[in-house]
Amino acid sequence: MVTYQIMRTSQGVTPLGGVGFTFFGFSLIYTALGVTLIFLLRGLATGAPTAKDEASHVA
Amino acid sequence: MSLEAAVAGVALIAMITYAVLAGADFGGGVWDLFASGPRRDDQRAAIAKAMGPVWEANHVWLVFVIVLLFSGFPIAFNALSIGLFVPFHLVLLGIILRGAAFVFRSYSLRAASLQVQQVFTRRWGYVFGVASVITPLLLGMCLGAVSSGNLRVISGQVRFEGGIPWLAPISLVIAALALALCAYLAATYLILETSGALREDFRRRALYAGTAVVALAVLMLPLLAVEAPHLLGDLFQPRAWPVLAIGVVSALVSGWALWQRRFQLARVSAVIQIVALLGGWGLAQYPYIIYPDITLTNSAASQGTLAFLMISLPFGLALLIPSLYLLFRVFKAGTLEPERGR
Repeated sequence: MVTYQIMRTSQGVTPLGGVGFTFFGFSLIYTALGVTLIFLLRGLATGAPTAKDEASHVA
Repeated sequence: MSLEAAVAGVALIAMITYAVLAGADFGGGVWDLFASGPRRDDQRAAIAKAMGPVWEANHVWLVFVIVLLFSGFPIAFNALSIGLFVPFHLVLLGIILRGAAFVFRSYSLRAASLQVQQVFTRRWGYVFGVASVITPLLLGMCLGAVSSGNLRVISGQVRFEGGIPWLAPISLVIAALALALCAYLAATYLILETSGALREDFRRRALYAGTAVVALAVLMLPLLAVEAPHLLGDLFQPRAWPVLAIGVVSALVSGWALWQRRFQLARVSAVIQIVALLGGWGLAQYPYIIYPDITLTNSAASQGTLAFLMISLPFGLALLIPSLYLLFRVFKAGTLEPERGR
């Protein structure tokens, strides 16, 4: 349902072809960007602070 | 003034704001792609610094236009999302990739070798630049498609008249004009954010882009006469004269100021030029959303919905405007400070 009891999803969908293509295409792009982001964040991560880091931070 | 016209007026103002703010961001991406000469890396650094953290916020205006369109003019929204399905999705793709690429490029891959880092930066930089060029082109094409009369909506069915409307010659020229204006606007902003030789680079680029704007505007007049005489006729009717005059004068002033190195004036008049151009388009397009089938009146939501939109607007803006002001104040103040002392 797009709007409950008013319009079904099948009535609301665009009459154009290629809905599957855009859906899977955009899903693929978002997945690829998400994976890239994870790699980049992993590269930035320096690991959890050690006991020594904690001690020097307090001091 | 009717409620329809009021809501459409707000949407036009939001569109103009988007053009002025995000247009400069797209233009920044264009100059990133075409960065050249001995100061290539410095140019890119200046662009990234100028755009910095505020640029993603500029898309709020595009979202605002879309929301006004689907809540205020659902029938027009329906027709647009069918008729311009392909360019709208490509615009979305461009905006997504631009945003992601801009951020990804500035991350450093610490674990990787220097060579891998360079390749990574270059590739994402390329994606950022190409997306920045394509997106304003597509937006210009959409503007052409709704104005030219090639996109028809006959008894609720969307039809193309004589080829694909957003690829018609008039749409392509409007697209090129949109891109040139973005590049021009960005260069006039960047002049004020840089100094020395770098400033000269951007002044030269502004002059190139300004020349392209004038050439395309001149090219567009005969094309409009042939392909969209209604638009040309509406553009030259008395009610549009003041806007047209302001547009032409500000374009000339902007070019002259650039030549005379009055950069503050060049930037202000470049902004006025774009406001006048889009404002003039709005006046010429009125009362249509998609010429000649979809008007404000025949595509509007109920009066209650329109009234609710107008009533809720001040509350939304009361939240948005101070937030944006704060964002710009915090992140752009550093570059504005030295100018004040000059």
